[in-house]
Amino acid sequence: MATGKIALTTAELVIVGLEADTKEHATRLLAERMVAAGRVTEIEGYLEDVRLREDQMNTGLPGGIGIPHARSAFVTHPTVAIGTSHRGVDFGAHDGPAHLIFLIGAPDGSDDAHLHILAALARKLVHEDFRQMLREADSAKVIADIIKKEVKL
Amino acid sequence: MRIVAVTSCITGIAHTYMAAEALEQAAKKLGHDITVETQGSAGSTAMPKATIDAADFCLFANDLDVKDIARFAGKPFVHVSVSTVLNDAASVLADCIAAFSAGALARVDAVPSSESATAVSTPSGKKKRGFFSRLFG
Repeated sequence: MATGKIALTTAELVIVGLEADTKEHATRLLAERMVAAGRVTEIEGYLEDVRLREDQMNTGLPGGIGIPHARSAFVTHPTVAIGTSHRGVDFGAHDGPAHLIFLIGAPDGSDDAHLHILAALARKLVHEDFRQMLREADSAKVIADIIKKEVKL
Repeated sequence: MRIVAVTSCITGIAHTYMAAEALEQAAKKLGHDITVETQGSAGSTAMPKATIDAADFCLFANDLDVKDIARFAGKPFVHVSVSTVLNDAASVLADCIAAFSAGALARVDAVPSSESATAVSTPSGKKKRGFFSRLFG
């Protein structure tokens, strides 16, 4: 973690080989990591905010990604928890299940500057070479390092 | 072709920026100029008036109302959902360019009833099965 800054993600926020069959389960497992890392103060409240967003429109996207996300009063810092799944988890994308799941949290009412890092992450998700690097990573640390290196303001 | 685009989504932290990046990459691939204004939560910088003036048409990829839509008055436009762009930005751009070239795009109202995309409607009376159903369906 850079000094004086809270990183967008860390190895403890990454699960390689997520054991989940549903998007709800996958989201919960990732949210538990956020709680353990002190990024989320109350898991049920945060999951409810994510579910409300997910109910409006699926967050599965072409290219095998799912991006459940919410702005929430229960989030302390802009954070992404990442799960990889060989089998895939259905997030409603038309081209198949998500092999990369990004659970994104932003504090409610956070100022613009804090959200720029999430905008930078979102832009990277469009690129297949970036997604491929993450899919092929074999450890949580490698994934966290890729995010740190590739997602910059 | 010179294109100006606006993106926005419900939460304003992910799809807005993904759609902007997808449109920029697709335009580069197809050899067109595009300027995208992201109307998300990480601040929104209005694009210069000169950029709008120089554009052939506008692409609104918005799930929320376009902010200050009066800036685009008179420009031919297409309005799609953010998810349409995320599913296949290159096809959306190609279809928009074909429709623009065919003179099939409506123009943004000169005097919108409010400063919102509710003044924006799909081009009426010009429905073509396939193309418009993909863009507007």
